[in-house]
Amino acid sequence: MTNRINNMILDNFKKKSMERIKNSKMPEFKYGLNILIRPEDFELDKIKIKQGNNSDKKNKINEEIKPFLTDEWDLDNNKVNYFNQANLNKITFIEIPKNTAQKEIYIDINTKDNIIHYIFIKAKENSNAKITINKSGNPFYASENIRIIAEKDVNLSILNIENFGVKTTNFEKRISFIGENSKIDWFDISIGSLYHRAETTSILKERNSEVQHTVIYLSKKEQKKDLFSSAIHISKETKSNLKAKGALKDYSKVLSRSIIKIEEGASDSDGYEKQDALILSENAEADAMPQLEIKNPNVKCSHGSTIGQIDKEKIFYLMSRGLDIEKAKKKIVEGYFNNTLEQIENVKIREKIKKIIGKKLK
Amino acid sequence: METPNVLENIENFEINRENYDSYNPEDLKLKTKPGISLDVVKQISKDKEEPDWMLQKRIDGFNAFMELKMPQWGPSLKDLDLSKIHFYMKPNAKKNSKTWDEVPIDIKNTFEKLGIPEAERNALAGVGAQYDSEVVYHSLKKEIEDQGVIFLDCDEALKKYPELVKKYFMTTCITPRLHAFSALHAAFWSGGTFIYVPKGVKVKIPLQAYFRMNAKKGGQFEHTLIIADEDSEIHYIEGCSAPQYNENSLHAGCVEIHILKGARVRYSSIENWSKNTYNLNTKRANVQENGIIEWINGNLGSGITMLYPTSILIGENARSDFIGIAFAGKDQNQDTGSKVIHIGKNTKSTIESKSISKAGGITTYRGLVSIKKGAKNSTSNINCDTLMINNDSISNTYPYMDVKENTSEVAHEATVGKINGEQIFYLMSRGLDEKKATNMIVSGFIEPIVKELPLEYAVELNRLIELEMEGSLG
Repeated sequence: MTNRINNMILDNFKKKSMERIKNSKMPEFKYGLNILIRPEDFELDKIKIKQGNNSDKKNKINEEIKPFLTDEWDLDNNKVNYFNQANLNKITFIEIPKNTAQKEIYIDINTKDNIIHYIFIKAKENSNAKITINKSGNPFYASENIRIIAEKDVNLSILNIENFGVKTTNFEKRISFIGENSKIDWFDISIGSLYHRAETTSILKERNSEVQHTVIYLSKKEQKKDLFSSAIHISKETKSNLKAKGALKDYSKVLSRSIIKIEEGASDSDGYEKQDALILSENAEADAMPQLEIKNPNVKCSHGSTIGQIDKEKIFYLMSRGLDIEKAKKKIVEGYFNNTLEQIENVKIREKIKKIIGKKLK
Repeated sequence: METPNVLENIENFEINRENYDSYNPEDLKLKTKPGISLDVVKQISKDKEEPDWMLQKRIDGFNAFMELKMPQWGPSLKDLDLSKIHFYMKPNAKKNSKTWDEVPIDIKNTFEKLGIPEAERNALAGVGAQYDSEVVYHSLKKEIEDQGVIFLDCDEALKKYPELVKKYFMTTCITPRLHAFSALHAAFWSGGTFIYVPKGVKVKIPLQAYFRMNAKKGGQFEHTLIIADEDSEIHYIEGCSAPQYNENSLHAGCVEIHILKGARVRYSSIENWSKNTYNLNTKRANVQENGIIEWINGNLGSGITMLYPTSILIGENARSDFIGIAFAGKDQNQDTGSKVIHIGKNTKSTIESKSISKAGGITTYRGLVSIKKGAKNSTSNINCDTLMINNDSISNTYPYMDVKENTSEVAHEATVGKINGEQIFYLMSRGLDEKKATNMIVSGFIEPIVKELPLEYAVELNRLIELEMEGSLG
């Protein structure tokens, strides 16, 4: 009986989203002047999503998902977002109970089939968890949508590894509402997909809430990445730190955007954005848009960005030590990523990522 | 740190605009009907006895304006009612007087109050003064004229040097179809400055033009065209102001600068239009091989400003340096920044932007650095700093960096902060009073810009800011 009711909640959500597809707009994929990051030959009508059992085996759909399906999460939804809501075929629900000292959760996605995955995370008071999401495989279309409610005194770290095959079109959208004294620490590794678009919105809702977002990316051949992170400071003493760091090879193209919005009530807040891109090949293109919107002056905000090439002197130095030019370059790029990757505590995962990056740099 | 008294006091200051806001009774020879129409366009061209190609250019601009959309971003222009604006107002004065005595007394007094004749005597090589739609005073020191430098108002230049004007006027730098307001400008332009500096001539003392809008509900569309021939050098300064009325007025000027091989132009502009003015100005420089453009841009006035001086670095080793300061007080929205398009090899650009917002004012830095394919070894550095004074002020930063060349380097940095109470207390503990301490911090903040201005202007800018701070202690 309960199950039928809950299926109805989900069915209504899908139905409502289906109706909204019609009146919503396609994302423009166009930014500023002449910046175009568009998935090639992308038509929603052609994407077939197999509908199976909506629930993840380990996570029954229950009443708890209700708060994750409200319109509160509808932040500037476009046609693709509604399409995903209407056609979702996988749900993972994670509840981290009150006073959890340390919980580790692994989500492994390895699929050939198109997937639209919704992950709902409810972190209750005084809980502490590390979540690792690892995505691989060769679907034509993939979409991951994470919605988080962090109550009070929560500490959540999410390591998200995107390593889909080079034919995948991937849309990701994450929204989190962060409560008092709570902190979310995102660490994204993006190395796969033909087209990858990730939008992360962190709403610093209550006093002393914090978001840290670090993105590491590497793009090759015809890969395109559109990375966007926004922190919305609503309450006092909130903190954000949005960083993206990447390297581009061949014909690849990356746009990294971020915005820090300080609302009127968010005094004594800190915001920091940094975007670094290293262009390794003649035909690669990088664009950066770090933005600030500040409505309260009692804050510390700054941003920086650099787009450049490998320092020639470093290459010459390594070559003088006997390395050939390609090896010298590889070494420098690895070094460029390594100090950021050191933040990953799990040694096994860290070494695995380094290995994948090393392989991709060849 | 708690600093209630000091910061509360700062919140109360208002700009002292006495010298700028007073106005003379209208005395016009010709005032077109309000609003835009092809008839007005033709009437202006006829009154100026222009050649056919210029009339055609105006008509093209008018047609383009009818087709082009208003900007869909930035500050709202919904209160700008073009149907109420008078697009051409010819003052009742002799054109291009060579001495101030020939200028009608009320107009002369206005410029006297603004300190123009005095600056001319002391520090300038030439001065042009425009009142509403026409230039009423124009003179150039003889030794500069003898070097072959041409300094005229743009209408006059069209008569005397039609070929030169035809070659450079809204052709390769700003085209009428660039955007809605460049189209509007092409249709209704009047007055402005024309400068030609011959090959190898280096003019060491600055030339200046001052633009004043006096009439109510007016529109000023002056056109500034500067051509710096190979290896020449010039410094040009522009000042602008208008009295305060309740009705809105519009300023949509165009500045086109052609910098040929090895030439160097410094363009300084201190804009202090009244708050009822929409300042929608277009400034662009085409820079050829080894050429240098230096923009110094101060935006203190206007209700709404949308201004993004643009450098197109075409030739190898071309360079652009932009320094800007924007000040937004109550009811002001300063949307400014700079754009640089790197096309040539080894091109360099720097952008340094400072803004101060107070009493609900909005400052926005909006800029673009685009490195095109082939612009090898180009570099760009962008720096934006904002000082926010009151709790209801708003500061936005929207930089765009678009890099299509892997041998280039682009770096951007920005900071936003409030006047630091600790700094004020520190200075006060050293014996300064509140007023001096605040002034010192603000002066320090804008110093990099002030030091680039000629002395008279640096003093003027400092005085303006100090006047604001004075009010703060009321």
